[in-house]
Amino acid sequence: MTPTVCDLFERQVRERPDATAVRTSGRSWTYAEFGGTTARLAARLRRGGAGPGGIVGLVAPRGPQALTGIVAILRSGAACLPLDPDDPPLRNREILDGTGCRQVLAAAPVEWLPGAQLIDDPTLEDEEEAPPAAPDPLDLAYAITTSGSTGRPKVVGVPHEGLSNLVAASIEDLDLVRPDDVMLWTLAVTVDSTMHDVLMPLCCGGCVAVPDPGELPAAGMLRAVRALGATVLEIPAAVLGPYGGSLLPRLAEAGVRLVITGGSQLDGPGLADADPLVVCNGYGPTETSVAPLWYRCDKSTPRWVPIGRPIRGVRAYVLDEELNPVPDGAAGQLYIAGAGLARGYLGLPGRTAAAFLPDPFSDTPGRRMYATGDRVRRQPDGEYVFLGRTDDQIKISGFRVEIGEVEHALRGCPGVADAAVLLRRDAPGGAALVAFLAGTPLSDEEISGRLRDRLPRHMVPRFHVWLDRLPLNRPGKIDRAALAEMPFADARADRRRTDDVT
Amino acid sequence: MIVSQEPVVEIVRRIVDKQLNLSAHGYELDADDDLWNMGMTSLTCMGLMLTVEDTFQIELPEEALREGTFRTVGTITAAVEAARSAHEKPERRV
Repeated sequence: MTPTVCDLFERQVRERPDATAVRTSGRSWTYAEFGGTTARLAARLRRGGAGPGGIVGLVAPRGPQALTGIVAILRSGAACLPLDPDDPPLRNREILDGTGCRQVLAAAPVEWLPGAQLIDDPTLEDEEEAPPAAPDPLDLAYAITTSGSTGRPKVVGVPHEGLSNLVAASIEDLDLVRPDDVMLWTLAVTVDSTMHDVLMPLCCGGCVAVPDPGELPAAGMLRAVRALGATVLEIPAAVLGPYGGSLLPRLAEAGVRLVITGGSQLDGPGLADADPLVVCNGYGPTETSVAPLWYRCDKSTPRWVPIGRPIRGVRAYVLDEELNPVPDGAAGQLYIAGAGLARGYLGLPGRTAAAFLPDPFSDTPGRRMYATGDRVRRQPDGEYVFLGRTDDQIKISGFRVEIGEVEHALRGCPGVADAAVLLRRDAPGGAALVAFLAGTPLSDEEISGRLRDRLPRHMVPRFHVWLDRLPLNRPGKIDRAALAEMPFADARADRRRTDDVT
Repeated sequence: MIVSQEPVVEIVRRIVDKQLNLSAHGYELDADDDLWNMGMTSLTCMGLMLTVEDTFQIELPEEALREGTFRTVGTITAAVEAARSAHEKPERRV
């Protein structure tokens, strides 16, 4: 049986107590120290009722405290539910209530959550290091919130089995992390890739480097790499695609050996031009444990980078609408089966059943496969290539957004009769969500303010365009193709032209 | 050394315009327009930083990697000129 990440971490604490587990610009923690801190916090959580089968919330920005929180929650046997302290309290409250989560760890006092346990509570020093609660492979390891098309977020529950399979493949098959690596933690706490990025080094004796919170996080990356001696880091495909050609040589010069990427389609040149630095592209929805397919870039890699092939224990099927396999080279929807499937959407059995179908290709009864909603084809060489979505889910800065959830929130604003939201790559300032609205116009400030009470920041449209009515196509649906072409940002330009005349 | 005849401010203006996709929307950029108010995100700002560094073959010093440096075409131009003169007169560097 594959050991869980808790087993692997505890083995490192026993075998390499003096190795550095965590590093910031200010200090570092050995495995023995980090093991002790997380064991005491885990013991406190267990005294409060946490354990296998339970869920503990984590309200903390990226930082050493959040890392302590993640590991402590896992070691208590419970599943970690990370929440963004900057997200609307209303939304975070709803998620905690909806998952029946009663215990929460926080980096700082939270106004809307007076009962939260502070991660650096000084009284934890007196806590006994109770024997570890060994979670079962089928117990949940973490729960990640994703956008829901019907207007409510969904919480995906992922068992230890999937996470430990990915970590084992990352260390033993994919060479994503080595005991002498320093992995720079670059992503948000609430993204499932964070679980992979921070836990795999801790499972093999490597070091997690936590950057300082920065004013300009993207530009600060190089500085953090140099200051912390990072050898591996994850850069979202949304950044690496356009800027990899310029960034990778600088990272290689600073000593980085591997850049992990993912989150959206990787599209860009020069990804194998910073030898010996290697780029590895991971693909996968949260529902399949971070990334069940991996691709390693080389000189022959095309600009539109393949998503690779399944890791150990994972099966990938390309099926038509009747769930029949399509031949290699033909387009179909990608289904994922085997190790790594999430348990489903917590508290939403209907939505779970709609996405996790019985696996018709498995001899074992009860096995399921996840319908990714991604259109792909399998190349003759066995690599899979992403072609697009089968629905209107989009990715913005690597965040997965169901357009339906944004439109639902817009329709809840007074005065909005109808709403359509599009991702416009041609927006001023770069790709942006644009809301096309019909009804009684509200000011931009008012509408953004109302949405910010409901939605995470990356889901709030940056532009609002009021129309007399939304254009319809022949079947009477909103004509998204027309909206995709509609000029929308010229209001400011008009104002400007007027200024120029006067 | 090959010195471009085009003033730095014009090159910066062109880089910003391309990075932020502004002229496509009929917008003419002034040297003091606040780019953060024109839709610039931390992602597009990083693209801007990398393109500026590549174009002028400079490395902006750490203290220049702030929001304020990238606020306007004027502030970016000033940062480029500072980095260039530091490069040309290393003995003056403090």
